[in-house]
Amino acid sequence: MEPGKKRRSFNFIDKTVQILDLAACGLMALLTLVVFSEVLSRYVFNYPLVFSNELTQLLFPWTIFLGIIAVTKNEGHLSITFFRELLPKAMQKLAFIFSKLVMLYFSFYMLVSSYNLAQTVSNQVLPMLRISRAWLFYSVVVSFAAITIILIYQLVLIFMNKLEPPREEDLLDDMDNAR
Amino acid sequence: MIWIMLASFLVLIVLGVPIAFAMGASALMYIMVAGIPLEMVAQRFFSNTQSFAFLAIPFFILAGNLMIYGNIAKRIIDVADSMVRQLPGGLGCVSVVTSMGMAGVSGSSVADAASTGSVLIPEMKRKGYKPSFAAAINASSSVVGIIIPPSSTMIIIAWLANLSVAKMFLAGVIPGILIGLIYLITTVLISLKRGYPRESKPSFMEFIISIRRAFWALLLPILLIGAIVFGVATATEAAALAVVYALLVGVFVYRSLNGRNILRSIRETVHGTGIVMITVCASMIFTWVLITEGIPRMIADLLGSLGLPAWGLLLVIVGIMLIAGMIMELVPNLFLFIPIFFPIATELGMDPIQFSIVMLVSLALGMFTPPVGATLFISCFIAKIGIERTIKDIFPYFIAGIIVVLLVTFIPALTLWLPGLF
Amino acid sequence: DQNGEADEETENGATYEWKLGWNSGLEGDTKGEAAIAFKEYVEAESNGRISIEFFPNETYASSPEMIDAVQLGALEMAIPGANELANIIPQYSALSLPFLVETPEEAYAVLDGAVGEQLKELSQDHGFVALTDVDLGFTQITNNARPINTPEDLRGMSIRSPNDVSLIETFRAFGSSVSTMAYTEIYSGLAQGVIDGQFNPLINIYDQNMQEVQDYLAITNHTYYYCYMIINQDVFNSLDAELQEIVRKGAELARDASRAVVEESDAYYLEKAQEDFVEVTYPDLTLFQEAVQPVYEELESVMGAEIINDIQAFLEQYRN
Ligand code: NA
Ligand code: NA
Repeated sequence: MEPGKKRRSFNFIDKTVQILDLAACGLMALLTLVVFSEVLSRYVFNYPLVFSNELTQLLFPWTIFLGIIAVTKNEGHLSITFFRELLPKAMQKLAFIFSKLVMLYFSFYMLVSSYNLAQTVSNQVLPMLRISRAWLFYSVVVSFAAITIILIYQLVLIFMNKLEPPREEDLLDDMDNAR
Repeated sequence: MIWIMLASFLVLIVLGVPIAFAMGASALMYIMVAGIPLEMVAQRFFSNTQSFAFLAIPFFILAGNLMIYGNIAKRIIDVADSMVRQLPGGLGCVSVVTSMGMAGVSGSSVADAASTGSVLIPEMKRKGYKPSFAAAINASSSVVGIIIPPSSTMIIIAWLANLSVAKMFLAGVIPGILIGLIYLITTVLISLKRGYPRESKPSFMEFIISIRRAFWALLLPILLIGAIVFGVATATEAAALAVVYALLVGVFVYRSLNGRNILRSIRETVHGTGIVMITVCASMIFTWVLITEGIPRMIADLLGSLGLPAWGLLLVIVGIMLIAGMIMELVPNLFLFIPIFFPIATELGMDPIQFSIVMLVSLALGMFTPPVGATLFISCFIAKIGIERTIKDIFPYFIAGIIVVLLVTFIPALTLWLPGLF
Repeated sequence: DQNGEADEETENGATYEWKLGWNSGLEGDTKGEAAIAFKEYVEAESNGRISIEFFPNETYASSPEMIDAVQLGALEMAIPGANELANIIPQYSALSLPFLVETPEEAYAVLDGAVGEQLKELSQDHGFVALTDVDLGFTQITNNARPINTPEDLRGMSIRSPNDVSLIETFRAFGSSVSTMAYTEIYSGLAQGVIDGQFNPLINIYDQNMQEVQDYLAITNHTYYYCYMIINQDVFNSLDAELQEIVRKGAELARDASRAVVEESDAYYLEKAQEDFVEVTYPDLTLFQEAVQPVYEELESVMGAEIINDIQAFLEQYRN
């Protein structure tokens, strides 16, 4: 593994996360449009859109679960780092590694679980859109596949001393609007 | 076994594992050991995304973001400034009133704390206020953001407890204003004691001009609540309308929104909603295990066996929520406590709408108390001071908040009168 | 034990602990009373070998999710709506077809007869056993715009329907605009005028207090609502013959209990409705039945013509 090559593969992860994030923003805009059109259509044309309910139920999970990919990459999840920061530096690093391993455990099994669930319901259809119900759960599959990869990547970075535990203040930028 | 799940959750939280993953991982471990089919993990996780009510959250956040990037915080500060700056501790009072104004526009306390704090905290420091006091006012008064409608948190409660969002919104108005007023009084009293400066007396003309400049922003809460109460739209649809409204005002009236900050607003909305929803989704797995194992019923039975009178039981419940709010995030607390406390409160004859506001206000006080508090974190960050240094200044506001909790608990009209009118 | 498998061998054989979930209340509710009747009989007759814990009001999960959970074996039993199960077994929405059955007696005859047995057997390929149907009742239309006497009166009205193709198409055939908001949002939707009307069995209309915010009630019996009480297939197959018989008998009692609740509540609320609504109409249904003919043709592609023909053939005989 030569350094140049490695950097390119890291860039690849950054790029992919960026594209998925833009996709999530696009879906968010679409979601607003669908609900707005529903109200407009009902009030102005007295014609409710029967598919809008199902469409929003499909778009919403795709939007948020694509969105948390970048959040994971930026370490933006809600967490309590107060106690960890009381630990000595070396212990902090251990706790950080442990935290990533726990996240990896959950993410990997979410990936397996959501894939299995999608298979279980694959022959059921959404009544109005007439597409497989599995499309709902694929949002979780895609999201946690990406998160699993990011977590492994972050663990590699930590072992290479290229990633430090974020401090409370670092979290604040991403925490805007979290509640 | 279930206790191992709870204990491991706490250990993971303390070690700094993100809350969503700590809940998810400890519940996942339980499910694997207990031999429950693995698919249930994904199913419980996914479940809440299918509720129409949660859809309102990104819309309210987006409307708020568009307003904030459209620079309306400055306009609302000007209104507050022209109303209360002549009081003792004038800038502190401006901070409280601004929080109330922002609360009507946005559905998130943290966004409010960030947008008002970033302007007012440096200004207060410059005028000689203690940084810890500036941070304390900003952190505490921002919690009205989720009590005065619109409010993302109320939507979660309404969904969890099967209540009408419109009624919850209306029920929050008076308690929210009450907190604002009590915080105004607290600020004046502290400022008198410490001799913080008053500012020049504003003219009536100044007030009118500032109102006119903030008119379109201040109209939003009125339109929003009106649309919900008078049946133009459901809460979720009203939130989507608010997004379009904020967009139109920002682009065509204030001319402060462009493609760049619109995209930024959307991106922050997606991330903010994602952070909330992954926590909500993971806590669903966690609470599902607790519920199917009968834990809420067990705690309810335990509380019932104490043999307390109704008011005593209510005080115990409020106390538990105050403490839980201090050490845990708001949303997971809702998921834990609503299934436990709602049946008890109903049995005590308390109206569910009133009880949800009691719950909301008690837990909201935790947002500005150490060790875990979102508005406190952000205010300390802006004021550039450590969290532990604010404790003394936070304390009076916490006590004042508890007074409001008690008023709301024992005077039903504060919450029920307004929704009863419609 | 989570899988509801044999817990321990006793002298009398294995014991079982099951969870039973549904999405509405307990006492006085059709599903709730069915669950109570089932539990009482099965626990008593099995001498405590089977014990059942209730999860009403979606405390376990939503109805479609409980179907998945039963298929997966996480939940032993559930009482989902037939039209919710229709996403898996399309034939289960046959009785949703407008005016296919016209009276409770006809609906019961279909479900208790050969067609009903055939419908229940369809579940065997999908990981669960449909033990019995559970009655919900015929739906009636309420609205705030005008009294309904002909299909023409429904034209232009905005009506809430569950997300069920045949019901949506039925009201589109009447010329209504159909919206599919969540069941729990109906009351506020009606109160605020977001929608003009909706349809449900009388017991649900009163359970959600819709009479407070609706002026007109039309007794149309246009669709028959019912559920299936389902049990995970492996769990059922693991029972010895004696317990299987007890479970089947308990399910029959559950069905009878639900039918008793519907009969009683229909009579009670129909009388109460005369006071609570501005006007209650009993429209002549011939015109309505003509208007919905295209729906039958369209829905053949969803559930197959066979089941529709079977039911129609049976009813022709039954009516003579
Ligand atoms: Na607000
Ligand atoms: Na706190």
